[in-house]
Amino acid sequence: MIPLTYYLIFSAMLFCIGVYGVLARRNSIMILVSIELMLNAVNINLVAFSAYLRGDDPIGQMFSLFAIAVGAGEIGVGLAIILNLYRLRNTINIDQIDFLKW
Amino acid sequence: MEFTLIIPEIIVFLTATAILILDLILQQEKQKKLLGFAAEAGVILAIAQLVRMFALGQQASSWGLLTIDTFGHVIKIILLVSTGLVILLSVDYFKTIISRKGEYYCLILFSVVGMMFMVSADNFISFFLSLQLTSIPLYILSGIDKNDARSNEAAYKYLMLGMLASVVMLYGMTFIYGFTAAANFEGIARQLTSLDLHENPILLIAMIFIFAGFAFKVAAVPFHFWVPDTYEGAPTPVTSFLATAPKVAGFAALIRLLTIAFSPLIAQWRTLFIILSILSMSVGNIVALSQTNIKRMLGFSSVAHVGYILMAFAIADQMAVSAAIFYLMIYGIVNIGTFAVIASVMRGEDHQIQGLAGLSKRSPLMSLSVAVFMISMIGIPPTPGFWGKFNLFASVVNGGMTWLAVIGIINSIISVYYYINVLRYVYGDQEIGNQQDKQARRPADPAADGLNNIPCLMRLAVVISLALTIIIATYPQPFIELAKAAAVALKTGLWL
Amino acid sequence: MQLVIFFVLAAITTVAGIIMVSADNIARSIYSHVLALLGIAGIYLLLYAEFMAGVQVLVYAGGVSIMLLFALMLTKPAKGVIRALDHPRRVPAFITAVVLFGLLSFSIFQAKWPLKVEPSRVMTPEVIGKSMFADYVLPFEIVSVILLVALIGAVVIGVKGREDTDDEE
Repeated sequence: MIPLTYYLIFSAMLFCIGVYGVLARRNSIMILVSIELMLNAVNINLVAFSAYLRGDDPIGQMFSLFAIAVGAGEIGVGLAIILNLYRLRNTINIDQIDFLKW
Repeated sequence: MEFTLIIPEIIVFLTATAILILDLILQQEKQKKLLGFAAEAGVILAIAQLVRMFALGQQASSWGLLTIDTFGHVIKIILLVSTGLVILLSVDYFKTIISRKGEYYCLILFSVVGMMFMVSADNFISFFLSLQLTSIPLYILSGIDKNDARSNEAAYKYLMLGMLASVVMLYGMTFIYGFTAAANFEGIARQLTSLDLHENPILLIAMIFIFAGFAFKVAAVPFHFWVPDTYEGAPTPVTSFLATAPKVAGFAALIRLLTIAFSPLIAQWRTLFIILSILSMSVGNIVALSQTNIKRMLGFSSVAHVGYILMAFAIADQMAVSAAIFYLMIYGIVNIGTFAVIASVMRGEDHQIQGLAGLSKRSPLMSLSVAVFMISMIGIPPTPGFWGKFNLFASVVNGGMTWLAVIGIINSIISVYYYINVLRYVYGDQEIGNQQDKQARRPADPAADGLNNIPCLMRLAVVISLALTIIIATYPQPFIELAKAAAVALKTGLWL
Repeated sequence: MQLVIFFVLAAITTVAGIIMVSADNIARSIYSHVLALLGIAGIYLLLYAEFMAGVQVLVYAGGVSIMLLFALMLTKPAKGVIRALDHPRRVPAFITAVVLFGLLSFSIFQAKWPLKVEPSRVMTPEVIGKSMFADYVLPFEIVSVILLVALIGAVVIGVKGREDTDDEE
């Protein structure tokens, strides 16, 4: 059988790959996608816990479903903002988005 | 099902939906003002209901994944009062800048519903979802001025960092859930008491991730980077909303989380908050010194104020928590007042501090308000800011961390400079002489004709904020008692 | 046997993830993202979470990915393939990610999880549905409001050119 820790390590790996993506990527859509990968890693955690905890608790899976819905919504709004950004400046490279200085 | 417990939230929610529908029916521009009034009416109705529930003094009750208690009532009243002022401010501000007023009001109201649920949440699920319901409208509102590149950039940065913070926080929550097999705060506390933190470092990491999400929401250092850009870029009424309501709600939810769910781990998180507090106070105050844009300056000043409030979390006894709640009350009103003045006086301009030059000659009311608010933020008696800071520092000393209070006092002294700097322009003799300053004050929006014609509703917002500030300054005791009642109502093992 | 399937799926997903964050051609990056999402759906099947797997494919691999591709197409430069141009921050980002992973896996191994040996098989959609609509109705409603807000937001910010329908100033 597959020990729980394997799933947890796997999801930690995906989470950290996502972190790398958020920090290193310059294109805005790619940053969004990396955040989405992190969200998926979190969902794996939730579902795995829900399956392996004593007591047959559906909370983890339900929480995960809600998280998917909310994540999809946020990405929708994010893409709308990015589209507007592109409309105004013709670029979505975050190095070039600096009208507001630090 | 006890729906009566969440009537205030339902009222606000129904108002939001009503506004959406009304927006479809009222096609003419002139009638759109009605939407603002409808929103205001909904808010006032909800406040009335909350006051009634507070006066009835019910015991705390659990419904769904919420705990409705007096703590929640008090915080929600603070939230709704702030929202009411912001809506008042917005009705005339947006006359020409944006065209989608219906959506604007309903987004604010939906966000408030999220905040109200967040304050009452006693389960990770309801907390996380209400946090999202709070945040997503705020992202949209920051960028609602579609054609302004800075507004759009503000929304972009806020959303990106906000999503990141939410995901990190959720990750932390999953580990706590995994360990305790519970998502509700009381269950978590019960499980945590039997666990040892040293054997399980993952709990500490999970806790840090969760606090990172919170720190982002309330803008504590080192998670405050979104603040200057978002505050500067978003339309001023939106900034006034951002600077007050989410912080109040965020702190309230944090109080509930810490005192109920994480109460067994108090020794660990007290240290974390000491660090967060010192960082926020210092960075906020020091960077504010160099700002020339007044909205950015206020952004960093709010980071500093968050630092002061975090001091209370380093102590986390009943006195400290009630001091924090009282400070939040004052902070909310004074901040909205300040932004109301900025919105009235500087509509469509570039928001440089110099733009306020000579305000005393042009409008005595506005100058007086700014003076009162700035002095309150410094914390000089007899302003309410003084009472707030005094309470906070007293509770910190009472908790045995006098050195922390000293750091707070030093930081308040540092903050004198940049608050007085504003007043220097307002009351100073520098008329706007040279061409450069005249350029900075040229309105970007031709219909907003600067100072000559401040709409009466915006003036009303400023007057109400000023009045509330003076009332709290003269009679602070009832408000302090209110904050205390809220803190006492929390059913926590820490001081039961 | 299950262990083999797990490692295969994990390997595919991880490799897809790595390609996603480092590919220079952004379209290729999104395709490998879809592959990673499908791999995760497979992992859900291993955990006997069939409903989750179905939702994952429908919402993420099906919906969100298409949305991303659309957005990508709408924001591309005047000509040529969309390039990533990531150079400046790669090394510190990599170090951060590796350090974080090290910390997390160490802590995960150290911890004493209170758990069973086999994943439970009772999480049918029926169980989830009963729980959701009996105990967790409020979060469900909140999610529906969130989705409404997201819709409003997308329209308010994303849709172009409605300003000229205002008839009076």
